[in-house]
Amino acid sequence: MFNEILRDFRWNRKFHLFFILNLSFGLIGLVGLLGFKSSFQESINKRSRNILGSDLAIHSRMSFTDDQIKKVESVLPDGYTKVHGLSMFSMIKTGEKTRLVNVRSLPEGFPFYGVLELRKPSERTESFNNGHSVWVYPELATQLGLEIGDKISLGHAEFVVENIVDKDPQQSFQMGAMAPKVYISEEGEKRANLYQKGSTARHSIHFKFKKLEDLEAISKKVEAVFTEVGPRVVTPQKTGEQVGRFLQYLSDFLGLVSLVALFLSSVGLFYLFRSFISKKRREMAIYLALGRTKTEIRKYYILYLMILGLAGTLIGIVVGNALFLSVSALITKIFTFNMEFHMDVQYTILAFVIGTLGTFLIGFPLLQRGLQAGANDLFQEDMRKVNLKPGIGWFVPWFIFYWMVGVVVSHSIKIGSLFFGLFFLQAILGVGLLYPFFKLMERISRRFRLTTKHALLYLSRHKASSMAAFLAIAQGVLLLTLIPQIRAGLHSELNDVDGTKIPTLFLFDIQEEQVKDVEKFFKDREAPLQGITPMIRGRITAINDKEFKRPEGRALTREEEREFRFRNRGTNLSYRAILHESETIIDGNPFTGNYDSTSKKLPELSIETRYAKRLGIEMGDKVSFEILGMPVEAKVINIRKVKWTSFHPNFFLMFQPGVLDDAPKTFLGVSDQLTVDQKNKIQMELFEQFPNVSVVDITRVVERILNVLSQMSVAMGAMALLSLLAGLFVLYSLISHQIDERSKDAGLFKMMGFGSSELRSVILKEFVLLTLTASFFGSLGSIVISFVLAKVLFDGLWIPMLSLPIFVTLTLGLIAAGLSWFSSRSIFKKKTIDLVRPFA
Amino acid sequence: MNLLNIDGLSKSFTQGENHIQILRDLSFALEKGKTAAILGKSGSGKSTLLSLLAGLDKPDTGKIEFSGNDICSMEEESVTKLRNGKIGIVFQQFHLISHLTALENVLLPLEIKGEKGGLDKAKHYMERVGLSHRLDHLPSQLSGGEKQRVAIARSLIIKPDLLLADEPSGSLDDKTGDDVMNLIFELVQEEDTGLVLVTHNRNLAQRCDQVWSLAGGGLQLEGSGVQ
Repeated sequence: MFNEILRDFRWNRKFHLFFILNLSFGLIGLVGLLGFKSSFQESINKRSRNILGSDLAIHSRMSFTDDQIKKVESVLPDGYTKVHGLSMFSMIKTGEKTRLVNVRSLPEGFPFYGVLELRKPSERTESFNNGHSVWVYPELATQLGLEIGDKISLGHAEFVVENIVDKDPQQSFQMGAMAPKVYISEEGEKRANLYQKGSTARHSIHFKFKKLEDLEAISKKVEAVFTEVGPRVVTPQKTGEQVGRFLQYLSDFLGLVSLVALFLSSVGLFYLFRSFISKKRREMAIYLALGRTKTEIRKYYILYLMILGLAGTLIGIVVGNALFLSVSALITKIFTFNMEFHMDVQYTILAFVIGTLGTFLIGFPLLQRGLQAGANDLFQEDMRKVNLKPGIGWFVPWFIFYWMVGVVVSHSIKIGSLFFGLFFLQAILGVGLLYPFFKLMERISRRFRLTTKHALLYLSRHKASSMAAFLAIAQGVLLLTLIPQIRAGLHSELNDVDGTKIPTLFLFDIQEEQVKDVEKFFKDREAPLQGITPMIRGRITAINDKEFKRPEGRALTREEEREFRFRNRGTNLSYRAILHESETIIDGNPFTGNYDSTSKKLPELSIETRYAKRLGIEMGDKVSFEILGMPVEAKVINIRKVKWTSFHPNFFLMFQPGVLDDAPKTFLGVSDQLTVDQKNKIQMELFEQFPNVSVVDITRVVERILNVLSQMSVAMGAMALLSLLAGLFVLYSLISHQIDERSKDAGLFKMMGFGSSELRSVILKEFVLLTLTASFFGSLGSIVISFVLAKVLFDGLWIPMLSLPIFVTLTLGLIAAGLSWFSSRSIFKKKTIDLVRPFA
Repeated sequence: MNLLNIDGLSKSFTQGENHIQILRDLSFALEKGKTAAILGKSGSGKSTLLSLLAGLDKPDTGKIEFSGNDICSMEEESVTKLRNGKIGIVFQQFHLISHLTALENVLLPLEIKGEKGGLDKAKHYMERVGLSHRLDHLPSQLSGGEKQRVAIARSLIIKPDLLLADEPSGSLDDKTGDDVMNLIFELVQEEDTGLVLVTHNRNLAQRCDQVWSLAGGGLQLEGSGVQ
C-alpha cells in the first residue's frame, strides 16, 4: 500500500505541494513559539538556583520577628547557612542628576549560587564591606554618566562607585524594570539610613543547605509556619516560574495568535482535500468495482493523508525552529536574556499531534463522504450531483481538538475557551453576514458589464470557496491591523491627548511628619503637590468571617497562578473622603463621611472592581484586616472602577476617613505639568532636602511603557503577518484550484467568443474584489474591536487609525491581482480546444 | 456561394515517438441551409474535424473557407469573433457553465457579442426548446435531455449560419436522444442554418442532405440522406 501511495505521489504534484506547504505555513508560527517557550523554560530551569541565589528564601514586606525566625529554623534540616537581605527603592544623586534606584543589600557570602560579574575584576573589598562604596548596574552608569571611582549620594551618606555589575544572575528580566539596581553592604545600608518606618521595602532571608534536600518539601514546612498571609517562601523552581511570567503571558498570547494561522491553514486543507477527493472519486469507484473493500480504500487514503500531514508537520517544525533561531538574537536583545536553543520533546510531540491529528480530523469526514457516495453514484454522468460536503457534525471532533489546542497553548481554560468561542462566533457571524452579501452580489450582477457580471457570479455562486478565502483574508487583516490600532490608542492615551493630566512626578515614601514640608517645597516652586494620599500596609485575614488562607498545592493554569499570587500577598490600604476623577463608583454609594467610632456600624470600604472579582468579594461583604498587628473590620459599600493609566495614587482597597488615620503610614503624591528643566531641578533639590523620599519620573515610565509596547507589537505583528501569509496561501491555493476547476469553463467562454483579455479580466476582478472586500471587512473588524477594547478593557481613548487598513487593503488587492495573474497563466497558454478536450 | 469549403485538409498528431495521421487530404463543401452528416467509428477523427471546422484547432495543411473567410489564416481572436457571430456548437457532454442558470447559459453568447435586449430572446429560445419552466435552474438541477436542450438553445441564439453538432444524442437514452435530434433538425430548418452532424448512428445520418464517411483519415461521400 505504501509503495502504491508513493507511486500516486508522482501525480498531481501541485496538490501535494500546496497541501504540505499549507499545513507547514499554519504550523510555523506555533512551532516557533513552542521553540521559544521550550528554550526559555530550559534556560530558566538551568539558572533558577542562580537567579534566586540560594536554596530557599523567604520574602516579606514586613521585617521578620525573632519568633518567626525561630519557628522557621525549627522546621529546617540540620546544617544550613543563613543571610538576611533588604531591598528597597530610593533616590540617588550625582552631580546634577538624580534617579530612582533599587537598593539591595549584599550580605557577605551572598549569593550562595552564581557570581556577579564585575567590570573591574575584584572580590568584595574592605571599602564595600565597611559600607563606603557601592556597585551599580551598567544602565544606571550610562544614565547618570557614572564611572568607577565617581561619588554618589544615597540616603544620608555619600558612596564611591567601586564597580559596575555587568552580569547579574539575579537580574529578573521583567521588561521595563522601573529602577536599576545598586548593591550595597549591610554596613552601607546603615550608613545611608534608608529604612524608616513604613518604607516600601522587601525583607528576605536566604538559606543554603549543606545536603541536597527536597526543597519543595522544606518549602511546604516553612509555609506552614506562617499561618498569616504575607511572607512568601520561594524555591529556585518557583523563582524560575515567577521570573519569566511576563514573557510567559506574552508567549501564551502569541500562541493564540499563531492558532489563527493554524485555523486558516485548516481552511486551506479542507478546501484542497475536498478538491482532491472530488477528483479521486472516480478512482475510488473503480477500486470498489474491482473488488477492493471500502475499508481498504479508507485505509489507503488515511495513510495517504497522514503521509501528507507528517510531511507538512515536519517542514513546519524545521522552518518554525529555524525561524525562532533567526529571531532569538532579537529576543535576547529585547529581553536582555540569553537563551540557548532547546527543542523540547514534549513540544515537538505536541506539534506533531497538532499537525497530523488536525489534518486527519479535517480530511477524514471528506474521505468518508466521498466513499459513502458509492460506486453507482460515482458513475453518474454529472459527478457534481453527489454532495461532497459532510454535515457539520462530522467536524465536531475537530472543533473539540481545536478548543483543546487553544487551552493547552494559552495555559488557560478560560482564555483558551474564550478565544475558541470568539473565534468561531465571528466565523459563524462572518458566514451569516456573507450569505446575504453574496446573494446581493448575485442580484446586482446583471447591472454590470459582462466581465464584472461574471466575476460577481463566480463569487456569489461558489459560496463555499469564496467564503473560505474571504474569512481567511479578513482574519489575517484583522489581526495585522488590530494590534497597531490598539497600540495607537494606548499611545495617545499615555501621551495625554484627551487632556487628562498625567503627572510628571510620582512621589512615595513621604513620612507623615514630612508631608507639610514636602507640600511647601512644591508650593515654593510653583508646582503644587497633588493627590496626597496615605498608604498603610495591611493584609486581609478573613472575608465574611471565613479565614482568607494561602492556597495549597500548585497552580496549573494562569488563572490559578494569578489567584495564588493575589491571595499570597499583603496589600496597600488607603483612605480618602472624596473619590479622585480617575475613579468611578459602578455599584453602591460614596462614603458617608468620617467614621463614627461610637456607632456600632462597621467602617466603610470601597473596592476596585477587578480586585473584587479576583478575590470573590461582593457588595455588603465583611472584610477583616490585620494592620500592623491590629485587627480591623470593614464592610464593602461600593465597587469602583479605576483608570490606572491616570498614574494618580490609587488603591484597590480604600477606607472611609477616620478608621486608619492613626495607623503608621507613608504618603504618596503627584506633581504635574512640569517642564524638563523644572522636573530635573525639583528632583535634585528634593533629594537634597528629603533624601528618603522616592520619586518616579512618570514621563520616563510612559516612555518605557511605549517602548515595551512597541517591542511587543513587533512580536505580535510578526505573528499576525504569519497569519496573513497563511491567509494569502489559502487564497493562492483557492485561486489555483478554482482555475484548474474552471479550465473547462474558460474553454467554453473562449469558444463562445470571449477574448483572452476579457477572460483575464473576469479572473482578476473576481479575486481582487474578493480580497478588497475581505480586507475591508477585516479592517472594519479591527477598528470595531479596537474601539471596544479601548472603551471596555482599557477604559481608554480610541483614535481611529485609517492609514494602515487602507495601505494593507490596497497592498493585498495588488497581491491578489498578481496571484490571479500568476495562477491563470496556464489557461492563457493553452489552446481553446485543449481546455475543453479533457472533458469531452 | 457555399457556406463551407474544405480543400485538402490534413491533420496529424505526435504521440510519444508515433506520428499519427488523423485526417488526410479531406475536401468537401456545404451549401447554406443544408445539412451534412459525418459518420465514423470512435477514434476516426470526427471530433478533430469538427474542432478544425469550428476554428478551435489549425490543420497541418489545407484550407477551410467559411462564408468566404479562410479561417486557417485568421488570428485566434478573429476566429473567436467569427465563431461568436456565425457558428454554433453542440457537444455530446453538453458543456454548460455550471454556476450559471439555464437562462444565463443561453444568454451568454449574446452578452459576449455585446447584443442588447438579449434576455427576451433567450427566454424565447428557452421556450422553443420547451424549457420555459426551467429558466432559473442550474445545470446540476437539470436532466441530461434538458441540459442538451439548453445547449441547443445556447448554440442557436446567435442565429448562426452553421451549427456543428458532436454526437448530440450520444449521452442520452434513445427516446430523449430522438427528441433532441428532432428538435435540432426542426430548428435548423426553421432558421435556415447549415448543420454538420458528427455521429456513428447511420439512421440519424440518413436524415441529413449529405452523408459522409470518415475512415482511415479520408472522407468518402456515401450519398444523399433521406429527407
